[in-house]
Amino acid sequence: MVNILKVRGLTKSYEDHTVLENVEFELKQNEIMLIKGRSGTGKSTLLNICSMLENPDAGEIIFDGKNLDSYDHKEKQDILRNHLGYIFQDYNLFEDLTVYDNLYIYLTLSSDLNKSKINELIRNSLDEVGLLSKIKSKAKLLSGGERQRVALARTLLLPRKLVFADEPTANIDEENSAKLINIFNKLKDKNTAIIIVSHDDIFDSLADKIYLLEGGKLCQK
Amino acid sequence: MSKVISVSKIFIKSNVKKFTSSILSLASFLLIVNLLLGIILSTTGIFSDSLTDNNTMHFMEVIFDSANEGSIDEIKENLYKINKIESIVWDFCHPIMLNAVDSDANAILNIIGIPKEALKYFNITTDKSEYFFIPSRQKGSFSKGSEAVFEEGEYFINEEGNLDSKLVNHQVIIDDYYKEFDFDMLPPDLALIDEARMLAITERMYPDGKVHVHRILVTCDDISSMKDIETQISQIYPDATIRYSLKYSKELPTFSVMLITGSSIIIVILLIICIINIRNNVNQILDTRNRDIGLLTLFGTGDKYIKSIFIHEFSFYGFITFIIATLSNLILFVLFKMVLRLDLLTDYFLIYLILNLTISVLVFCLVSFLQISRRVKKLNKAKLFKEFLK
Repeated sequence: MVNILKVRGLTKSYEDHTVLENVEFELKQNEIMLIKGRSGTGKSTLLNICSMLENPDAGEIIFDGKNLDSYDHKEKQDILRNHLGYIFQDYNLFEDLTVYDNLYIYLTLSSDLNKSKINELIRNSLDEVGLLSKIKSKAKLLSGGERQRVALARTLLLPRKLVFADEPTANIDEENSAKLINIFNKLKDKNTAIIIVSHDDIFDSLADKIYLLEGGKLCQK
Repeated sequence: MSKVISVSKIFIKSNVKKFTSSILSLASFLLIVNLLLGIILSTTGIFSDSLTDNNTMHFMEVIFDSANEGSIDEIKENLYKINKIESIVWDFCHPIMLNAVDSDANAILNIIGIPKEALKYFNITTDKSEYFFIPSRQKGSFSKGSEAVFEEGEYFINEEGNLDSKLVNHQVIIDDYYKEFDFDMLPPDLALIDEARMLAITERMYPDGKVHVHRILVTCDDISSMKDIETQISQIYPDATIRYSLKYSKELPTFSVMLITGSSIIIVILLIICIINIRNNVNQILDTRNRDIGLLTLFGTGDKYIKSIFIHEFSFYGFITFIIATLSNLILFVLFKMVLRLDLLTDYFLIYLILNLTISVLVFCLVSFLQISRRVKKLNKAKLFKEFLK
């Protein structure tokens, strides 16, 4: 299988505190990688750097065979738009908009699909996460689990090469966590690689690789 | 573009209620600006009409007592030594019956000789040495370029060698019309004729052929020299009575200049306050929208798209502000007109429209564009996703 992400010598410090030190790993298409560790060990920082939301102090990230440093700002935006997906612990939805509008905006800006195709995709993806009945509800009126599933539905809308999930079960109950595992499996079936950052053991059985981040070092378990 | 518009529409639908207070605050501010501007414009307008742009201000009346009454040549010789005097209009104004040659039209007008230099105060110019202008209200009776005739009595020595008089026809061509203005130094319905022909006509009206003048009008381009001219004329003709507009209202032009300068400063200050107010409003709105900017960036939306989405949204709020400000302005000023008989609307409505549209839409968009650009740049440069997505 093709390497979708390759990280070499990644280092990041905040003032005198080294959060990541010479972090290295590889992720293949279709693989699920779980990064575990105690709070404040730099898991989210590692995820943010890999997903281009933060800059590293040193090291290189090779996405789909090409070093991210060699991409210009516009090319990076193209990668974000066409290949990456995000699931955050605080969902990152447009809280004042309806579920439909949240997904509509994402699809409109990420594709050139017409309105009927967009509607079809939105309905299908909400159906997959079991939220079709909430299509007209405002995001802020949904429960934590439902909001997380809207974020997942957003990720399911278009094929993604790599999805980043930062503590996806932090604010949801066990029942919703089980649904989440199910959706991650669906993503895997669609050939999507997933990096999950979590201290929740629920993902242990799902992951192909489990890493532990401690003292800035990443070690495979 | 259709993507941007459809996304903007969604944001507008969801956010318009949130921004009602900002929209109303800016609309109220515009209403106050309109009100102040209306008062300033109407006040400066009154002063401008009655003082600064008033042609009568350039005329000075000099009345000689009978001992000093002299021939026009002598008076001219004395007064043209004062270099600030532009022209001298000697008053031999008297009524004539002007008859059209090619029609039955006629009019009673007061003929007066006006030097070419003074024609500008009647808002007319000509290159001709012989000219004849009538009031614009006579347009219907006498066409431009047509011939007209009037009679004047003149003295002559008859065959018996005695002094006699007769009526003589004088033919003139109507060169143009002038717009009359309120000029209390001369009678209304003036027919303006060139000085040379007037002198020739007038000389024949005196048995000795010498025109004696009791009253003259001098014109002066620079009204600030009026006092100086008065002093110099008084030195030559100590008993002459001198009258001019500024003599009785000399403080008013200074006040008018102060008023216009002060008004301009107030308007500039208002504009600056307005822009600062808009900037604060936009910043206040954008502070609540940082998350949206962060999310759109996270989706890989191009910077240009993000800016366009917000500019469209802000243009809409700006347009709503414009409509509210203009409608309330209209209602308030109509009430002013009806209740206080203060008309701040008729002459200035277009100015309010342009000002409101410029401030509420253009300035709003420009300020929004600058603020959003700054935020997007900051987000991308410093990778402030965490802060933006909070």
